[in-house]
Amino acid sequence: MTAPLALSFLTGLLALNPWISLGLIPTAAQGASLNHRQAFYYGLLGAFTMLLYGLLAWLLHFQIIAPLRMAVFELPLLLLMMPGINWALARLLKPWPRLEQNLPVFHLNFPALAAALVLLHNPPATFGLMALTLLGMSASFLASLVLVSHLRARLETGLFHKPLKGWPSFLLASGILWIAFQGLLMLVR
Amino acid sequence: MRLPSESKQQLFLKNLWSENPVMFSGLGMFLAVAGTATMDQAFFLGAIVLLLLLFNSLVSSAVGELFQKKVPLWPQVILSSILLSGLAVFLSGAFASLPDNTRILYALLAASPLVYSRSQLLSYNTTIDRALFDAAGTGVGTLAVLLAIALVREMIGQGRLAGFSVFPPAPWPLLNTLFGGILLTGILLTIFNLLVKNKK
Repeated sequence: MTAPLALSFLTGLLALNPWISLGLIPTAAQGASLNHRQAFYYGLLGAFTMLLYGLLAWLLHFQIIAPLRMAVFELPLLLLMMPGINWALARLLKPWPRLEQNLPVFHLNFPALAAALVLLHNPPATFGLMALTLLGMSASFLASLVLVSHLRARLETGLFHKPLKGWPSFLLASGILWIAFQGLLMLVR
Repeated sequence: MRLPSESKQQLFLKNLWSENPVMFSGLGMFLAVAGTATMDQAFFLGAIVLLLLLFNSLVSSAVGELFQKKVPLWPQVILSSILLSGLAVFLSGAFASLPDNTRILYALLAASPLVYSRSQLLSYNTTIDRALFDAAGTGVGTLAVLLAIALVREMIGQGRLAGFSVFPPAPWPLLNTLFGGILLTGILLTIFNLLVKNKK
């Protein structure tokens, strides 16, 4: 009974999350701080934005775009939703300035758009399964961002040859992180 | 930094190599990692980036010259997404022959900082021809990086090139996965640091 639910969550967590399926780990890290605490808040806001945006994108796609066959308007409409999301989140998160100050996540909420696009290209069968997949993707964003921030902080102080310092060493470490995620995915499969 | 004394050719060459957007500022890294599975995919996405850069710079510099105003980011994003959606209708045949993730990467370009970098930083403040040369340098520089990574990934990861078998068993199939994109981008950045950044 609960197996499809768990499977949907794990699919979002390991297989569909854009950090692994699209290799966006280095891109996600570009907006994140090296400070673990700040990276956690950034990741939390990112996860929340992805969840909210993903739900709205799903509704837009299946309630408006698909029935009216307006696929050509989908991308502009998805991007038009972004300023609205930012405005709503800024108002909603006013009592939590540590979260609000990170808006938008990376550039124009890039990770949220990536998650929504991946979800719409691999749609789960029902709304409930979609919500669980999205929850998995959001959890994966938070976890990978905290991991990546830790990794970057360690690499900044590591002893490397000058040309390897910064992004090159981080990209090599991200590659290993990607392989680790693949290993977990194979275990689940 | 762009100096008013720089010629159009200097602007073009600077963005092509010494201030290449992917290697110098890390813009469009997601394309280098995920959009380089084959040469076709790299060329397709690189060409779209070039087109978007030229379009945004043209709009931004034209509005700057006519009204002395900078086009805000959001109208540019919406305009670019409309352009991408319109183009997708004509390119649906091309998508079918490219790797699965191409459609998602294509749509993600609408929110990528890479395609707005020139129009938001320089184009609104300069003449149309200079803006176009600047954007063209950035676009061609991105395309060159994508093609370089794709060339190695396709040859070593798949053992073939342009449809022909080069190495019958692929020497290192792991390069055909996203790990290959991440690793080769890292190696390319290291080479760039050795040749350009460390000299400064």
